Amino acid sequence: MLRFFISLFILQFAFSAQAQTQAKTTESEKPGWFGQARAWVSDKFNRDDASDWLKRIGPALRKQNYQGTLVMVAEGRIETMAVYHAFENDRERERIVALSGPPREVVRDNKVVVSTNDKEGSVGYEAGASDRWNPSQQFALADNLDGYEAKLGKTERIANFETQVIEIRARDKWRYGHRLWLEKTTGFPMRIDLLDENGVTLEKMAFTDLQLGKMPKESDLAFPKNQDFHRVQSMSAKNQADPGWRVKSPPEGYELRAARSSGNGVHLLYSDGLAFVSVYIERAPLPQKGQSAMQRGAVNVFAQWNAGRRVTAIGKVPAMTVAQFGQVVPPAK
Amino acid sequence: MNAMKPLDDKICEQLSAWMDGELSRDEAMFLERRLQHDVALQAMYSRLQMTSSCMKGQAARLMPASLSTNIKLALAEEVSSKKSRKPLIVWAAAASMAFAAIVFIPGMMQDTTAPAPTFAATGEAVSQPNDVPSFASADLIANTMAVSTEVSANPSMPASATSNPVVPATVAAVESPENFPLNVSSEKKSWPRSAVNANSDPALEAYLVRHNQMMAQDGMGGFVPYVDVVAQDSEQVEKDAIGNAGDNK
Repeated sequence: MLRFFISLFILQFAFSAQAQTQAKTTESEKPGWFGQARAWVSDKFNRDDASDWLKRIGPALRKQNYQGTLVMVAEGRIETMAVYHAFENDRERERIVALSGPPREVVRDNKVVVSTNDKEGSVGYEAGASDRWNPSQQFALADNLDGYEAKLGKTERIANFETQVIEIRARDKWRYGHRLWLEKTTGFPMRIDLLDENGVTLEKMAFTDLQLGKMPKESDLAFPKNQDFHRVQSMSAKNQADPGWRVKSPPEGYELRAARSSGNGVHLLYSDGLAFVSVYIERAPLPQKGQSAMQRGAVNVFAQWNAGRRVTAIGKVPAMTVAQFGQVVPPAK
Repeated sequence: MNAMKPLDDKICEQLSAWMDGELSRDEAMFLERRLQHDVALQAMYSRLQMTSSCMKGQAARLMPASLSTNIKLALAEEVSSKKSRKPLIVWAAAASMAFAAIVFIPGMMQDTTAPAPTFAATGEAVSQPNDVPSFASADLIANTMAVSTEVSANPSMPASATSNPVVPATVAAVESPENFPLNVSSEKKSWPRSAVNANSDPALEAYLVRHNQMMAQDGMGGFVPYVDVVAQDSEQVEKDAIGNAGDNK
């Protein structure tokens, strides 16, 4: 008798649940509890998968030898660049050379970067010892992607490589979305589309040919020969102490990842896991006051100078984001 | 002359730290001894010194590799020729002292309570803290900032004068304002100006390189680093620039 009532109760519950599910689905196109649970599990696993893929990008870019041709399309412009990258015994070298327009290139050998263009000649940047930076490990370990919805897409073929598409949609207007085509075995980004809040592509970047695993020739990684320019800017930090400066109210999801002070300036780096914004705080003549904003491709810059300091925020993020990052607070006394 | 050997990272970092005045005394002594003999290290030092000068916007060019040898030879010649000129120099010095005594001693006898030389007052003015209290209080500016600014802003100052390797601590103090020279061309432009010029302002390049460098140094990434530095937008859009004209410098 007891078994009968229990069976009846279970059946009744099952039918009512099914009826409720059907009613809800037809009324508002929402899935029932099972559908929701399945969607949650699917989304969870999908997101974890996407996150795992994203974690592979950094090592794929840094710890491999490769060379190829990178094409960037933005706002009707097409830039073609040759990319050379070598990683050997913890020594990372790379060179990016513009193949169209005025001659420009960036060459990096571990901590030294030389940027060359036709207007300024070559400028060297010497980063100094990494342990003299303020690495802010606690921030660097954060892997925060709360500002995005990431999911696995289909597989596609790019430059003769099988790739996995990752769709990353921004949850708000403080960041751009991304669509990534990652090479299946290494996670190497073969193509990257940057999307605005409406899903419209702002910028496309893709390797049209790539030789993964190929060590570039020494001559392709060499610094420019005409060293008579030579302006090197030391990027050595004065000490490892936290400079104390902070952005007043960074947009949700952005956290301080690194900070350093050097000379009369402070450099803060914020990130939401995908987007990065640098904030530079420098001295400025006291009487001056003003602000400016500019855009270069998908990179936005906001600067304001006031009260004897000048704050510049720069990053591949929407204009309103860099403007928000332009508001800083000094260290607490 | 020593054969040129490749330098390891550690010695380069020590050299950089020494130039910043951040090397311990023992390490500094060791490095200075090595610097006297190690040609490769001397070459690296020359490069760093050159870059330091250039980043101040001062005209600079690389020294020829044989410069130190040439100087040594010139000094050797100087020493050998000194002996023959010695009597002449002694007589010249004696004559100069006699002339100075005739001209200055009567004046000194007349007023022995003269005020301190004017360079004391000048020194005070130069070492006065910069009038940017909020920023200075944030410990962003070294006490020597005013001195450094004065020195680096002086266009007639030879490049080597501000980067003399003899006293590393002094070098660090003098160079400290320039260690973060993001607005590399600010001295040449009138204020107020926008953060970056529409026409490929070098400041934008510097900001972007540092942005990428900072990400890389902390093990983070971006997708393809430095691409934005190389990719040149010929139609950069300067959205707005609002500023009141302060003192145009």
